[in-house]
Amino acid sequence: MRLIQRKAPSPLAYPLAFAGSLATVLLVVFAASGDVDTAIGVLSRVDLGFLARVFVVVGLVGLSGVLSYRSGLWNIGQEGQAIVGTLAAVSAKNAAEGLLLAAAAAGAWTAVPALLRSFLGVNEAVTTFLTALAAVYVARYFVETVLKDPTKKGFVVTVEAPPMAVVYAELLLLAVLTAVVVLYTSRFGLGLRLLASGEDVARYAGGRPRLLVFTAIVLSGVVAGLAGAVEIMTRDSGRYLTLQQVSSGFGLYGIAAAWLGGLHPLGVAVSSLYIAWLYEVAVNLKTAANFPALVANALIGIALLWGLAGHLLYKYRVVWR
Amino acid sequence: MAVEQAVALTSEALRSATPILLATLGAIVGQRAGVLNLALEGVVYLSAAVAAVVGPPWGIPAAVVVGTLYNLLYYFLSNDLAMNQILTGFAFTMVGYGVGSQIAKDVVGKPVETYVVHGTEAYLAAALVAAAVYFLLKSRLGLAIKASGDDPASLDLIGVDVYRVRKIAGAVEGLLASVAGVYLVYVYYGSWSEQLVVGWGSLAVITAMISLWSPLIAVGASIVPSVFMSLSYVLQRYLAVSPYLLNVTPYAVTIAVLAIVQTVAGRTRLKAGVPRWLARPYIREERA
Repeated sequence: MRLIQRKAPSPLAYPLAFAGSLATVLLVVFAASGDVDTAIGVLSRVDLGFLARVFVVVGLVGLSGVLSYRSGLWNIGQEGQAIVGTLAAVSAKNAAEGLLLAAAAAGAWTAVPALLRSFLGVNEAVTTFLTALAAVYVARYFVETVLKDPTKKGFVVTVEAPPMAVVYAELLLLAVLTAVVVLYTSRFGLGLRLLASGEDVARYAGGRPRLLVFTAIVLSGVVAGLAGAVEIMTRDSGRYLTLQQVSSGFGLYGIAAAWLGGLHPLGVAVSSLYIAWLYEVAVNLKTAANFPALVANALIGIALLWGLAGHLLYKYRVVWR
Repeated sequence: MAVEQAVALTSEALRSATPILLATLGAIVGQRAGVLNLALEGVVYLSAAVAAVVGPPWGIPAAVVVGTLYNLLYYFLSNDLAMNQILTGFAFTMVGYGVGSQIAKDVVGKPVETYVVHGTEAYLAAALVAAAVYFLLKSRLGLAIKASGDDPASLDLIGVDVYRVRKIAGAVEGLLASVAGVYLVYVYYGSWSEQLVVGWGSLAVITAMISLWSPLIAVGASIVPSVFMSLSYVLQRYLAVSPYLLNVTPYAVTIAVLAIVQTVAGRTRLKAGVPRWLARPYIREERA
């Protein structure tokens, strides 16, 4: 088996990855459901309001991934950054303050792996992943102490986050998407993208690699933090956190959306809708066939693998000999 | 009293260091071959789930076979097909969580017949495995594994199949990570829960780096996170600090130690030990 570099990238690679992912998911759902009627019910039951919420949250994390991965930097701690954003939103008085605090808190949280990567060369994939695990415990601490709702006697839950209409969340997604596109047309954005070819290349183009690396990772964290804030503020009810529910999993799903969308902002918008639907399928599987919640991870992990395969097929042909 | 507590803490730290050491040894072999495998978390999780479902003694070979094959599938995609190692590993962990939680959903919380160990003997056994891995890495195969992580193009030029060498490393890595999963269910916890593995496999990826990819140093390095994990339980009894903040310390300390080790290694002769092709796929057709 060999990988042959294509003379021109294949535009069909990502649609093929979508088709492969969809076929795999259908196969899994039919095999898991046991009968055709249940499977069709699992695949077709859609709550549009819920889908819209998940779409925005996954889309924001996906854009966070675009900012990081197109710079050749491996921020995979979006789940933790989103958790920090959620905590900040819970402590806010209104939605606008919630978004600002979430951006600031997640940016500060991500600054640690960003500084370690910029100045000491410590692998950012490893540190962002570890900080995501640490974020779960930090969040539980805040749920139990600083943000605990004193009126809910006997229950350990936070105070409620301010509400935010889904339509405003969609506008926010559009604004971030536009900002990313505009950023990439600027000289600074070009420097960020050149990082993927190596820090020396970015330096020869007039950029300062340390600043670019730091900015790319922190910006990525800021956007993931916004996703966490949006997730909790757009809930119809129960805009609080419990000890068990600090980690929503959307941070992981956004990474899949970034790759399935070909690391293109518009591609991410499309793939986020697909991932949101997959999440809904997993929720339906849980209610219809008593599957554990973590099965959503499996479906979306498969989508991520197809997205990576699409990225490979974009550049290479696989020759089986 | 203080002596008793110190003994209890040491025993507990060694018990929790054992699966970290086993998975770390696997990660060392894999990273020496040039593969940064974040799928290790998924391998530990899936093998632990299989062990819980099948039960002892047949759960041991079953978990090892499933975990090793799962790891080899990851190596096929990340090496033969050159898919991004970090994100493929991440996806494998997500799929491992989903599949593992589904196959073991009926045994959640049910006690598994356990092998009673107190810590020291389990850790000594794992240290013996570390010695075995050390000698494996000193052999011709070990040299080929190191070369595939340092200069795969040259290894290929002298006629050694880089992809095959990396898959052998992947099999060893998968086997050791699977044993770590079995240990967690049969020895450490004695039952299965969905949250059983969260973080153990990932920590091993980092302790492999802290160990500077030496199995013998790994014997000591694996104790770093486990001491803090154990301390977080013990200190809860004596300090008025939230257990959740104490639970952060193993991760914070691991990051700090990693930063120190990488900084020191980068400025001294130790940098020669860093696999130069770590996390980079080898594509034969692009050989320079």
